[in-house]
Amino acid sequence: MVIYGVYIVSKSGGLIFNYDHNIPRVEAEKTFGFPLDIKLQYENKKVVVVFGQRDGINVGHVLLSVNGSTVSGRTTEDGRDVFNIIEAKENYPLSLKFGRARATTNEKIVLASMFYPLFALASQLSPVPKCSGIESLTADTFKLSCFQTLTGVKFIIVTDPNMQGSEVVLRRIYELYSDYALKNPFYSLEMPIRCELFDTSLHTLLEIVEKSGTANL
Amino acid sequence: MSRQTSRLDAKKVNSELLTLTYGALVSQMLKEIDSSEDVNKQLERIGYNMGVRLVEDFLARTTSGRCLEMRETADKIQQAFRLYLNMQPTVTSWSSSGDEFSLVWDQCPLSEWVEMPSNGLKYCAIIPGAIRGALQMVQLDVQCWFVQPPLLWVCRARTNLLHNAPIMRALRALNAVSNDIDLFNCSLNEFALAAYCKISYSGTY
Repeated sequence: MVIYGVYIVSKSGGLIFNYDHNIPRVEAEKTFGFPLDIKLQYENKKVVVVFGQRDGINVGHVLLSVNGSTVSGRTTEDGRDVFNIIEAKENYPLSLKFGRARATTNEKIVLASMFYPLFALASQLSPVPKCSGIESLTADTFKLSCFQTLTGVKFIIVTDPNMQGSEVVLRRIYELYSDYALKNPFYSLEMPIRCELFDTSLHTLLEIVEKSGTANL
Repeated sequence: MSRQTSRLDAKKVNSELLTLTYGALVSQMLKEIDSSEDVNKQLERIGYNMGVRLVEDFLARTTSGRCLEMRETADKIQQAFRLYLNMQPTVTSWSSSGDEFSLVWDQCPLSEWVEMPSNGLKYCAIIPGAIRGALQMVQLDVQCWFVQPPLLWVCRARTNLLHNAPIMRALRALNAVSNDIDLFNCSLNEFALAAYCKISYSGTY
């Protein structure tokens, strides 16, 4: 029963809440000699591994640090270009740390607004009229369950692919939302949810689900 | 509130607390706003804002689906009254097209112990606002207002026999006449004329 994250998308398609619950941290640090046997490329403002998967460093991982100094964009902390460092023989042996890129808030907002038309498209494509849209979307490493309320708010949880009873969890999150977000007079509708009570009770709920499953919700 | 429903019973508060708080709100508004017409409008607006949020609580608690028909909606509204105000209004006066109905209640917890001032204030104007706001969130556009309560209350007949009793018929006729003229401020002639018109041309009394 692993829940990776919770997202709430408002009626108009904006991300109003996101919470990363239990994302495993994948990081691998290794010392390399010249020449580097991993192909790196600069894309989307990150230095990404494009070829040469080995020792826990997978294709798609991002370069996090060079010799202990953090990489942001394509430069290290002291302002040197990463590719210049890698290409110069005198810098070796070189210790590089790779890891999975974590989505920034901006990227999450983009993803949430991309899910919105997908949901609408699914209900349009349906061979049977009055279809509800995507309720669950399964991949080999995760399952996304979505619950749309009658008022158009979407609750989404990303879980382990063999998670059972995610509908119950979604319903409980809906109850928490109607209690702690909507009854808070300082929360205005359609705006991002920044209510501490909502956060804490959501954490409690997710912990209960992880420990004892959804049976006694 | 809803969190407790499945484990413990719903959190209950004394209705007097609500009555008094609401009374304080209305009387404060009457002090600050001169015209009672404007107070009605403000109360309606407050109700609307409440309904927009309250509908989520209702849906989360009752797990009810989408209404595909007005009668179903009326049922749900009745259920909501029971849930939030612990009273059950009766649904009556359906229009023939089935898109208009009246909710009748004789005592509302909001207006318990209240002596209504006679300045056109609609004391419970928050309720129509809440209904409008809640239904708007589930894609139903409705209009909701108070119709004038009947002047002489005809109690709901238990049997059709009583319903057709002369006294009931007389009361109904008086109510109908009072829509046309002011019963307590008219000459006998005017009353006779109005009553005569009603009785002879509508034919239901």
